[in-house]
Amino acid sequence: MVNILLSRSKGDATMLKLIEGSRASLFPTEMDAMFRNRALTFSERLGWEVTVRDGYERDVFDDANPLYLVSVDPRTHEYWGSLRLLPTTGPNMLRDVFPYLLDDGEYIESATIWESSRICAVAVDGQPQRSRNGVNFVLSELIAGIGEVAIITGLTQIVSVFDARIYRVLKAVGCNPQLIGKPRRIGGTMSYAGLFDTGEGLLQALQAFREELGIEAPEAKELALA
Amino acid sequence: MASITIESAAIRLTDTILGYNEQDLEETLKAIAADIGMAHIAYMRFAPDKSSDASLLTGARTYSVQWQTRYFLKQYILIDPVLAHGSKAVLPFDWEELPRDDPAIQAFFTDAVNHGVGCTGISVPVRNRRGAYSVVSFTSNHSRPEWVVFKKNNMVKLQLISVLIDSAASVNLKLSSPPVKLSKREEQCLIWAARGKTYQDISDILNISFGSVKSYLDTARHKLNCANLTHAVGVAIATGVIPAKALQGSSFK
Repeated sequence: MVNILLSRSKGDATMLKLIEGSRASLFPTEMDAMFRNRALTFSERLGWEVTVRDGYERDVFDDANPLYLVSVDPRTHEYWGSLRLLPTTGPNMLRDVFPYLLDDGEYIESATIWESSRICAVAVDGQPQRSRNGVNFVLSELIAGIGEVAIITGLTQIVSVFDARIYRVLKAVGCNPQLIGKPRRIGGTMSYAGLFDTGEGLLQALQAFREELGIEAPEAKELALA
Repeated sequence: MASITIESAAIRLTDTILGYNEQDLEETLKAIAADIGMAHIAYMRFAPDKSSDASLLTGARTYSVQWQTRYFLKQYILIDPVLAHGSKAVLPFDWEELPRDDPAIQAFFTDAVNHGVGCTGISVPVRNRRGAYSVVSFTSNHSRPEWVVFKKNNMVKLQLISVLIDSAASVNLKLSSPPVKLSKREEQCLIWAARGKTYQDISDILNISFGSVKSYLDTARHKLNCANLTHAVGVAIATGVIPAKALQGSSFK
């Protein structure tokens, strides 16, 4: 039914596609690139114990109709990066895969908190440059996309399990992530569970970040239905 | 439109969840709709196994009895796009965003408006721990601009109410028992029984003995904790053990 394109800014720096899991088959190119990018990022680079089959990293949560945010080149629609969102009232990674990151008996389950996972990006020509503090532009736009999904959907917070690299990105773009539970080594990397607020504060922080990059803010009016 | 207050709605639902409120969920939803200025609220839970078949008589809705009867008689369940999309969606969706190219769907929405369902609607998908999918729909008679402002100011609250309604429904509708798994033969026999066939008919259709048909149906009835075959057919359809669509093609004359 609805696939919302967040078309970005007058400079058209990036374009985000919101793809519901139940409609993923309508976006074969984006999905193919996303599952391959995930295999490279999480299996090869980070050394997480994820299952890779035929070059794809996929897990049970991909079968649970999640929401994907996919960043593409606004001119060519070439894949740039993606992340996955799951409601915490249903099955999710922190509760079902990484419960040991939280203290005993603690869990995150709320109507207005969704979980972000599998954030990754490719580096290709044509992307806007990194910011002064070295944050990847595509990752920061994906996080901005979460902020916009939060408004459409009525979310107040995002929870996520991430490595030190993403922790740094979240801090750099002004998400102000609060660590919960205890960091643990998973595979080859230290992993953290954290929460951050969505809403006005996040959007303001991201706006400041964009200004630093010299990119104009997306116009919310450009929300388009395809 | 200003933002709504959901405290009294939350109290009503929490009381239901805790077992202090034995009121029918439908009555609770009516009170909540009045509290928050909605025309109607409808809750539907999709069966975990055959959800795509929209076999979801499990739910509670505040629509008029005339509309609910009409919905059933016209078999709107088979075309209702709120169900078709809501059974798998994760993002809340405004009914205006649903595809209406099909004249039958257009006619369905017109008919719904004419029967007081409301001019505008939004549905909030809900997932729960067991992986079950539900959808809570809110309708209103506000003008489109008012409705846009209402949604902007109240999405967080609609999410909260929706999840509470889902939890209250698990208590109130006693939906939390584990899913029933029928064998292929049991399911086939039950579908034919639902289509109005006798034991002898089913035995001829499936080319199995009369006794086998009886035993498959009896096992199915037992698995569904039902008193008799009629009861079992009703419960099986209501809980999605057999898909409502399986009744298509059967004559109701």
